[in-house]
Amino acid sequence: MPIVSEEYKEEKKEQILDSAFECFAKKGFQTATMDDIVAHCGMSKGAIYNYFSSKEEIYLDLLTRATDKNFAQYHKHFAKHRTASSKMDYLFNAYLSANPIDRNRLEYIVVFYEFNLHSTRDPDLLQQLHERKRKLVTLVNDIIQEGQQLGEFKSNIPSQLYAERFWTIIDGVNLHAVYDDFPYYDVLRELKEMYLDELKSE
Amino acid sequence: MPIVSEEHKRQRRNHILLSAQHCFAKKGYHITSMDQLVQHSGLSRGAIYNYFKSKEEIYLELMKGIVTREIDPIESHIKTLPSNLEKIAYLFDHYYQLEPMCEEQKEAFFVQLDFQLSASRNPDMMTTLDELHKNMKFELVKRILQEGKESGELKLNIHVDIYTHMFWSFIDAANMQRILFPELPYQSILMDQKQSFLKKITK
Repeated sequence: MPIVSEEYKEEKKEQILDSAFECFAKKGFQTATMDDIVAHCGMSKGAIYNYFSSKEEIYLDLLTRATDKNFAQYHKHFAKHRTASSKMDYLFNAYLSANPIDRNRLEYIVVFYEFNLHSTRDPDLLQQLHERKRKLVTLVNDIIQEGQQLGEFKSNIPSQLYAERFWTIIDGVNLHAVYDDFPYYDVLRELKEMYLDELKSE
Repeated sequence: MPIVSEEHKRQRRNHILLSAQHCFAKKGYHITSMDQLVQHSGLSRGAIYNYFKSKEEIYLELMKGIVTREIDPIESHIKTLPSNLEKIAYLFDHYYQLEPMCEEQKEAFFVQLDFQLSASRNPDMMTTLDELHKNMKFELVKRILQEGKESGELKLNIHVDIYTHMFWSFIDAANMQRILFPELPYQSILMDQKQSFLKKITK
C-alpha cells in the first residue's frame, strides 16, 4: 500500500464532504444515500468508506467543522471586545448580517434541521447534537455571567435560561427563513432589541 | 355496492391520515412507501385509493389537518377572552400548557416541521405551506395585535406583521426543541419570552 500523506487525506476528505453536502441539499438528508454520494463524488465506494462509514458520520464531520470555525471566529472577535454587551451585540450581528435569501445558506439550514429530525430516531446522534447545543449555550452563558459581574446586565437574571433563549430566537428565524416573504432582518432586529432590553441593567 | 354513510367515510379518511402521520413521523415522508401506508392502516390498497390519489395527496391533506387541529382550539378559546392582551398572553400559555405532549401531538409537530423543510425543494408543497401558514397561523395573531392597537391596549408604533412573525418563529423553534431535547427548560424559556413580548407591546 502506498504511503498517503495527511495532506492528501485531508484533501480527499474535503472533496467527499463537499460532494455529500450537495447531495444532502439536493435530495434531502433522509433521502440521500451513500451510493448517491459515491456517484456524485467520482471516487470509488471503497475509497469513500476508507474515510467515512455512513452519511451520518459525514454530516457530523461537516457540522463539527462549521461549528469549530464559527467558534474560532467568535473567540477571535471576543478578544477585541471589552464589554459583555458588545460581545452579545457581535453574536446577534453575526446572524443579522447573514443574507437570508442566500441559496447556499438556506440549503445549509434545511439540511441541518433535517439532520436534527433524523437524529430523533438515533440516541447516539441526538447525544452528539445535544453536546453541540451545550457548547453553544455555554458560550452565551459565559458572556451573560461576565456582564452580570461587570454590572452591565441585571444580576437577578437566570443566565442559563437566557442563553438557551438566545438560541431559540436564532433557531426560530433560521427555520422561518424557508418562507419566501419572511422579513428575516426586521424580525431578528426586533427580537434582539427585546432580548437586550431585558438583559441590560437600568 | 353497500351504501356508506358520510360519517363512515369521514372516519375512514381520518383513520388513513392518522395512520400516515404515524408512519411519516417514525420513518420520514420520503422513505415511507404507499405499501407501508396501506399495511399500517390495515385497509386494502383499493380502499385507500378511494380516498387519496397518491402519497403526496395524503401528505398535503394530513398537513392541513394538523394545522387545523393546532389552531382551532386556540381560536375557540380566544373568543371567550375579553381583552386582546389576555388573548396574546393565552397564545403563549397555550403552548406552555401542551406539556406533557402525547405521542400524537409530538408526531404532528414532527410531520409539520418535516413538511416545512421538504417544501423548500417542492413548489407545490411550498404553496400549500404558505397558504396554511398565512391563513391560519399568521392571520390569527395578526388580527389580535391589530385589534389591540385599535382598542388602545397596545402601543401604536408596533409593527403588527413583524410581531406576528416574531411570535411564530419563536413558538416553532420552542416546539422543535421539545421534540429534540425534552430535558431542556423550554417551558421557562417560553414564559420569559411571553413577559418580554407583553412588556414590549403594552401601552
